[in-house]
Amino acid sequence: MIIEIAKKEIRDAFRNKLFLSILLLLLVLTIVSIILGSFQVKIAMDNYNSSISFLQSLGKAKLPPMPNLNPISASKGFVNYIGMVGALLAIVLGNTAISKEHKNGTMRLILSRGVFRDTFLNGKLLGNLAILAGITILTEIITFVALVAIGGVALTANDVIRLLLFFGMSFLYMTFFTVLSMGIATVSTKGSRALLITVIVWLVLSFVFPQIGDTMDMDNQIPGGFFSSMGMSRDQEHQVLQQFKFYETLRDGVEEMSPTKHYERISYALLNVKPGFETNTPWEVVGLKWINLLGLLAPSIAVWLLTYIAFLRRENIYQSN
Amino acid sequence: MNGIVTLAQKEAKSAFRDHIFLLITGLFVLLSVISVYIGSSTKNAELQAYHDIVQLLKSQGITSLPSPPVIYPLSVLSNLISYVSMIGSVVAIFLGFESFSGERNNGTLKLIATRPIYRDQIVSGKLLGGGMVIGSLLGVILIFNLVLFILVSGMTPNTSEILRLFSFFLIAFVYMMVFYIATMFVSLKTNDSAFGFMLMMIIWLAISFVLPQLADSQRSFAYALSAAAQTVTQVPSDTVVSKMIELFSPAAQFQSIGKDLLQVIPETADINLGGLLLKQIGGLIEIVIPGLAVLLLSYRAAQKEEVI
Repeated sequence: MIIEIAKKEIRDAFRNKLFLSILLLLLVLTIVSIILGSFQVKIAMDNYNSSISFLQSLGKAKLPPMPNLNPISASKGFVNYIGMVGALLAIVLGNTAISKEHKNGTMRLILSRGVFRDTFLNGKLLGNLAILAGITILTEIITFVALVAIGGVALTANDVIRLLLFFGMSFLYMTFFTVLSMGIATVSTKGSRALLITVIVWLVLSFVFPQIGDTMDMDNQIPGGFFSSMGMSRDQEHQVLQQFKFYETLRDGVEEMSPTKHYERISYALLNVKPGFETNTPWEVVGLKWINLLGLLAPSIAVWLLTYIAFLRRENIYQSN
Repeated sequence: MNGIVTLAQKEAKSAFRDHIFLLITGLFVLLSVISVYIGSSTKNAELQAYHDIVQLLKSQGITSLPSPPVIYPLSVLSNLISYVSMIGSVVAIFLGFESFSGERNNGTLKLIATRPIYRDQIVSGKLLGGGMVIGSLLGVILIFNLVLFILVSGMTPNTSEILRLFSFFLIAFVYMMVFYIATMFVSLKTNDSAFGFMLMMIIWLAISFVLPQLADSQRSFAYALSAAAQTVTQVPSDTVVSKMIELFSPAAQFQSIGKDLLQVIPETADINLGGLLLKQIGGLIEIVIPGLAVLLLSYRAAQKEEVI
């Protein structure tokens, strides 16, 4: 029965104009960002190769080693697009899954058959997770093909694992918003109101908290960095920041409340956009960034459990809205 | 004229009776108000850090000390730019998404149309009502910001700075109204409120986030090397492509004007208001023109629709 509900969920999603519009936007953005990123990698490769040819034509035997082009950082733009467009897509999926059944009166019909409430919720979740997984795999394939075909780079095994883990994080991030949206739609008596509330929660988590954190970042206030403008070295910077421990903890605390920030932090570490993780293996990066992984997983599990409790205990389920 | 005012008053009243609208509005007002506090705290921390740096360097026997950071008073309020551009526009969408479709679904639009009121007056009434709500919200935020700015930061803005702040709020009003008008138009054209709302959210996302992000990815970066700090900093500069992409985003234009008006950019922080507005005239036109175009389309749609 769970599989049947999940299959219906997938079929319904591909009939939803809103979902299809956002999906199209996300795919276009993925293609544009990865093509632009791959071209940057290709330009860097071409520059290196032409320098080598030039040196060889001069008869130089000692050639410079190839710089670290970090081809997987071509997905950097994708982090931002998933952060915003992916989250909105997940919200639409989660909300529609529940509100359409309320609106059409089909929830009463389904539950009057031999379908337990938990089976109903599990089927919905499974269907939506399958859609999100499909989107993640599709964007993953686009990324690999573009990097190899346009960028002309051969990815190492570590690069491939890092990229796969990064796409895994993108899936977990979108899952959180689908679960949240389904949860709010389940608790709310009106689907459209639930959508508005989910959008407000999304705004707070994805814009407001990171924005407050950014503003409280002293180093962010001057273009090029405050400490750099003061001529401070990294050690001196850390020394000064020690005196602002409470302030920095508060700032970090605000940022930690945002799943978007957790997703951004672990993704930038995996993609080597944030310096300091180049020598680590992909699994070591995940280990070092476990708190961010927990920040993506724990809220989804907590919200899903609350949704279960609310849905299983709800008495006015057969009431029309 | 009476009909327009009556409709506008009804629009404003029903907005303030809607719990969800009050929630997003409360968030917007709260954030805008606390932005003064966050801005002032950060600037104070920055000054404190500067003094600590000077002490540290002196203790190391260094005689060449860095000059103190220049803090322009209005830059304390720079958070407002993001809040208006991101949350303010969403407030306008929340305000307008049921302006016609909601009335249509409740059957009240037909009732209004049976009264002696022209269809263009219905649009004007809704527009005036939305303007009253957005205007009063921004008015409250302006007063709170001005008072808190003086109390918390301990700085007193001069006439030129007050004029800059007023101009910023005026442009913020126009910017939010553009979103309100666009949402009103979508609401006129669709029966499904939720669909109209999400459609506007996609447009908002594209204008406020995707286009500026794409433009950002097309900027070229120069690397500034600090020998003393032994750090390399990326300094972005516009390219033809990044400028072209930004042309399609009123949000990018609003942020650029806002940064100039609130003294975020040191190079334009001392220019007089007239010179500043003249410099940003292109951006201002780019915000106003789409709004006017959609407003005309709204009037046309309301006039031509057979069953409103």
